[in-house]
Amino acid sequence: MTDDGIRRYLYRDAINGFFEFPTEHARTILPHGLQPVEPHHGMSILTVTAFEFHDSAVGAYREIALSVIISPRVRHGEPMARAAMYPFLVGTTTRAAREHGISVWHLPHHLLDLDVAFERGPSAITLTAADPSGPILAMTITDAERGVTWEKVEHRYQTFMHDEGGTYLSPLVMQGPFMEHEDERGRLTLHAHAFTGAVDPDEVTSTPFREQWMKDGVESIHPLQTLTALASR
Amino acid sequence: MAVRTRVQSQMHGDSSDYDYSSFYYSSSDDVFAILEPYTEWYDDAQLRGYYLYGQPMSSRPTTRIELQEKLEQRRLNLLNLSSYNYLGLSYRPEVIEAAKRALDRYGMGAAGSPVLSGTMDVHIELERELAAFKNKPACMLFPTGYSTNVGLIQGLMRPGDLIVADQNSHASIVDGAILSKAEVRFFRHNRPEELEKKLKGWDGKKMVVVEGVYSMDGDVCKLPEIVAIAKKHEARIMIDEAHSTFIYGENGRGVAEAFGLEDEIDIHVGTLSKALGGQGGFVAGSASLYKYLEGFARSRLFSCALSPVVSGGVLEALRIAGREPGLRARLWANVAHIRRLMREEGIDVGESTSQVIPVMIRNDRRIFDVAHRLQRAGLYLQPIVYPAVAKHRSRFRISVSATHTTDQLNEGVSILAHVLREEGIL
Repeated sequence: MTDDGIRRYLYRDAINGFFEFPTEHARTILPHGLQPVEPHHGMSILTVTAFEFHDSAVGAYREIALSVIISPRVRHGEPMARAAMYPFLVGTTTRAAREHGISVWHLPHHLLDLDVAFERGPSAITLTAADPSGPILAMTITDAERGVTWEKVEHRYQTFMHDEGGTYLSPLVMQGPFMEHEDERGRLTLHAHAFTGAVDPDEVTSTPFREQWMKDGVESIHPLQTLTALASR
Repeated sequence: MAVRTRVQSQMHGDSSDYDYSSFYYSSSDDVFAILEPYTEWYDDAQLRGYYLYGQPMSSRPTTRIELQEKLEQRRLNLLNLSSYNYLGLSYRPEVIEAAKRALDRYGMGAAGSPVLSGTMDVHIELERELAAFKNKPACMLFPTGYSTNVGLIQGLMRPGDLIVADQNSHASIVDGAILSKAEVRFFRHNRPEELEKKLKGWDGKKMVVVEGVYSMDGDVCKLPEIVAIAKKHEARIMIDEAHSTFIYGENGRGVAEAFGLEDEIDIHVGTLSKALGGQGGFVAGSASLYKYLEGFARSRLFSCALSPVVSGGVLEALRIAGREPGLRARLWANVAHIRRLMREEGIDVGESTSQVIPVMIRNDRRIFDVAHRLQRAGLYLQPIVYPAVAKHRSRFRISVSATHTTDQLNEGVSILAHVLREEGIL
């Protein structure tokens, strides 16, 4: 952690897939006061995110997260967030990473260590995740084609968390080479599992409408802000 | 001057990362706190390509138009593939003369709500002729197409009822459903089996809402399967034929006529602004439906009646559409021609089978670059992005008219293919 309270996590790969699922399901996941972004009437966005961290305060580990994309909070004079998300379940490969995520970031975690694997091919990366009870999910994110290139970026996001103590917002910055496309070539398989229990796999699209991939970058998470207006409702 | 596709601003980022969905909430209790950050983004977005929206036209919306470009204040002469003037009736001399006569007779506006002082005999005449055309007992005029769906759905449906609509429904259907406070469910676009899932297990009143031709995709509703499912679940059926009335069916009555299902549909909606080139909308159905909506369709009840000038022009346009079926034939010949050209060029038109032909770009950022180049190359096509379509379904929308010449269609596709190729999209 730096003097300004920002914690940094260095990763080899960070991948993200955007999938549509019914807003009526998204609303059962989101706490009161957070609104899903709807790409279609009645459809919200489920994201599946995975990291391979090689350096952090809790060492090297791998992580997956399921989130709902929500509307960001905008303030004049402050940098805009590229997007905002509400992670409703996180899983990690180590106990230390899990305890860190729960105590520092108030993130809801799956309480078993996961097996998270990345298989890197010439034009795609495939994630598989499982725990001792069975497979959880598999996701393939494809590389860019048709004129889309990798660029070094610095993207700002907002992450919202909620637990019995309240609702929190944490600004987050992702730096590194980045690729994003909407060619709909990736793939998601959600297995029936406690980890995916909050969504109905039959109601989640299996092809991502947006695929994102970052390599050899840094995730910098700013200190939590308590959202009193939302927490009091 | 080139369009600036990436604008670095005081937001410390790339303005193309944001769209309208980024500006719903501010971190403040002041309602106006969102205005300044939005304005900052808006000004950047104009340079990035949003300037292409709302550029003033200084001519009739014929197949060639004069446009005042907002970016550099230049006057452009463009080939128009954007206006939904499908039969070219908005500028027919007979229509203009009829509107002028109405102006002379009634003045400019109706000066009142339809239920108070705003109803004029030209409105009654237009409603009667529309009802006769649709082969229905009654037809009610609304001041706009948007207010038609809003007023109809809000007027008819109640909390505790169920509305099941196609997920690609027009915003007016969505807004009417929200306003009604009924339970609203959306089924995946044009998938009857998904409609059935949404209807299952609902015991109360229910209505299924579909469109004849979907306005942004140009595909046709799978009406036979949808009607069968709706009947099985004892749901009423409403069809919005904004883009199919006067286009589909032997007599131009729409997709329901084309499928031979007119009598199976409970409520028929249409607009006067598409094929007829005017403004307004209508609901065709039973006399009892008319009477009920007179009292409960608030978007009509509390709006000024349709302008008598427009009503007079539309009445003439309706008569022309009826007596000149060759207009529809010409339109369909043009549709076939441009579709063949686009297929030969390998242009992605999605699922369209109608006169509404999307050019799928599927990238919210690049579409503005392409749109700018198209305009500079002489082609008037509008970028369609969120919220008009899903965030990842950006496209251009070609509207074919009966009045396009073959040479104009050839020219349009040639420009389009050239720019798409240069942009690496083809």
